[in-house]
Amino acid sequence: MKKLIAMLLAVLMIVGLAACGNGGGSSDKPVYAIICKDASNPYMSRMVQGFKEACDAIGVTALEKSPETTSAEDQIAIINDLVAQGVKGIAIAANDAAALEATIKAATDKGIAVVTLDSDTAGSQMFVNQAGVKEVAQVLVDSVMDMTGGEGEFAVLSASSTATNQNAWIEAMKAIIKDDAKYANLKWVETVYGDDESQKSTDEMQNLMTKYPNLEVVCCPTTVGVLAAAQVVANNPDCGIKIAGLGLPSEMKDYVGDDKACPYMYLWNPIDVGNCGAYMIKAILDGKVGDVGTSFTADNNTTYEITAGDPAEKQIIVGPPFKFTGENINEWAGVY
Amino acid sequence: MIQTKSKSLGKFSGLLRSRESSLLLVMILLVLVIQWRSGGAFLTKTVITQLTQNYAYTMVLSFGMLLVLLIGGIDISIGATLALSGMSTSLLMADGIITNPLLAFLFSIVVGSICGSVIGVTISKGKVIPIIATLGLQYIFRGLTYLVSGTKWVPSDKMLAGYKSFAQGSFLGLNNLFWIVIIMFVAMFVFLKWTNFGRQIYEVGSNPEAAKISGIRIDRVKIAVYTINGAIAGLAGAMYTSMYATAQGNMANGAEMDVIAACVIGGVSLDGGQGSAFGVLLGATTIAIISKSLSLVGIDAFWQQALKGGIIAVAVLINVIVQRNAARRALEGREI
Repeated sequence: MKKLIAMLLAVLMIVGLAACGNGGGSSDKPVYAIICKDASNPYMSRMVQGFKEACDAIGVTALEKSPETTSAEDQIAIINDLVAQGVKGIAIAANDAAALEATIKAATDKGIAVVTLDSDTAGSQMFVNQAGVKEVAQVLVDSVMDMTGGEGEFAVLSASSTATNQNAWIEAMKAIIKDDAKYANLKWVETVYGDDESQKSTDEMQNLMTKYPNLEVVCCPTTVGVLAAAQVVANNPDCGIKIAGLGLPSEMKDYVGDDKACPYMYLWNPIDVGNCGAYMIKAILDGKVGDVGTSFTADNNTTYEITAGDPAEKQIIVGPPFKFTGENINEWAGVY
Repeated sequence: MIQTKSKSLGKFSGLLRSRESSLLLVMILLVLVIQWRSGGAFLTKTVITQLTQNYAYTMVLSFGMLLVLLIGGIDISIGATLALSGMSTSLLMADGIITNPLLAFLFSIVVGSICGSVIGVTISKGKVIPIIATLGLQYIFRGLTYLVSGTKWVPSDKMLAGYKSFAQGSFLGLNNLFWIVIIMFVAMFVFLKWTNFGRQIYEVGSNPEAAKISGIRIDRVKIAVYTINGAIAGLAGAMYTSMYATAQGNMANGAEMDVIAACVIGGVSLDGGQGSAFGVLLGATTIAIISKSLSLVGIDAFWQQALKGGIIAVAVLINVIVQRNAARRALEGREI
């Protein structure tokens, strides 16, 4: 197995080298490069797939260069190589939030567009954010709306009561429900916290069922919670509760489907993230990206709003999360 | 005063003064308060079944910790041992190497025993104090868990159906996992009360010097105890992964604290030499009742931790006071 991986890596490197040669040699096509966290991550390889598709559509050459392990040092070396080769843009899933800053600055000083995907780092011109708070909250509320049939009791099973992203989503869900009269018949009975721990999440889920006999949906914006909740429902098939939320397809494979505990769930789609990254490089190079607070339409005909990034200068949101259903769950379970 | 009372009353008050019965009273009081505060939702077949199933692995771990505390040691690595054994077992199942649920349980126990024996040798031969040795090894075992799994989870569809259904099944109306608790309790009770080795454990803990002079090979007792504790943690690893049908690198993180608390509530002395299997069973049940009921009673998530700590502290305090009184009265009795 190790030998196989080594061979694959070698082949990949040769292909990579060949691609470099192309990029450097024929100056007619500009090169956009993507740097993953590491070479063996299936989630990352789907991101590369999306990046390459977008590059083909834009009409540039895509080049993938990834370190073997998730090391920031290796990524620095790769960026330096790419700068020397004269690529036009770099999309990177950073392995460190700070260490890459000087290297990236050196690249952007040469006019190379650098965006961050998946994981942000200082120095990046734009963070392509896969998880917009509003977008996530919206699909969660709509799942609850759909699964309850428009009215009924639902609860939220979150991670810990101090988790920043969880609380941001929950607040946004509250705002969405309050602002739109069509959600008026949804009754949010309680928000409980499973601390991203199987035992506690299971307890909380079971206690919700005990406390609220009319409960119809439990919404879990956390991968550990959604799994525990779905397992509890699967072990109590007569309870009639549906689970909505954010989950990892590989973990949730047994529970997602029309007749199962979780009819469908969401998570970001790496293909979309990679795809968007390439278009953002193009937009930066074309000078379309303005100041924070403004918006622009990229070549994929999508309008993006620029918000202040942290630590990147600017950030945009890829779009709504991806829906995993009974039909596509098996395919995605092999990816991540 | 006591002598003036009738004989049966004297027996009764003697029973009252034993440590276990005071704890039993605390537990009954706790259950009554919970039953009242939860509007009668606690003492139902469903909730009790959930409790015995969800906390079976914590209870089993408590019996192992009892042995370690009895010899005056401590083991804070059991959560990590649980994770490593549960994870390696699940990985072998995912790879199709382990194809029998019973074999999976046995393998997990073997991995746990190896971890335990490493701890035992480090403490007895390496002369490292237990809390430091297990603190260090805890990181090693947890790190190994992430290494062997590549920080990925083993999802439920990769586990044997028989393995997962074991934790959900029941025998004579009791959940299978709780049967493990019962068997473990009986075994521990008999082991500590009626075997030579069991008595040696008490001797090593209460008076190591005397134990040494009387010919007990303390090192061997220590290694054996930590190995048994590791084996129990391995068993708990299998129980955990079969119960939640998932193996996650950070599973049971911090479980050792609940387990130590269970032992202390159960009247086990951290100085060694004092404690019983029955006390630990009661202590572990008390911890399970507290953990299960806090959210059922409807206490705010932010208060749950503090309240749990408060109840543990009060339970231990009552326990200590009753015990002290009992010891004093026993002395008075001797003087008369």
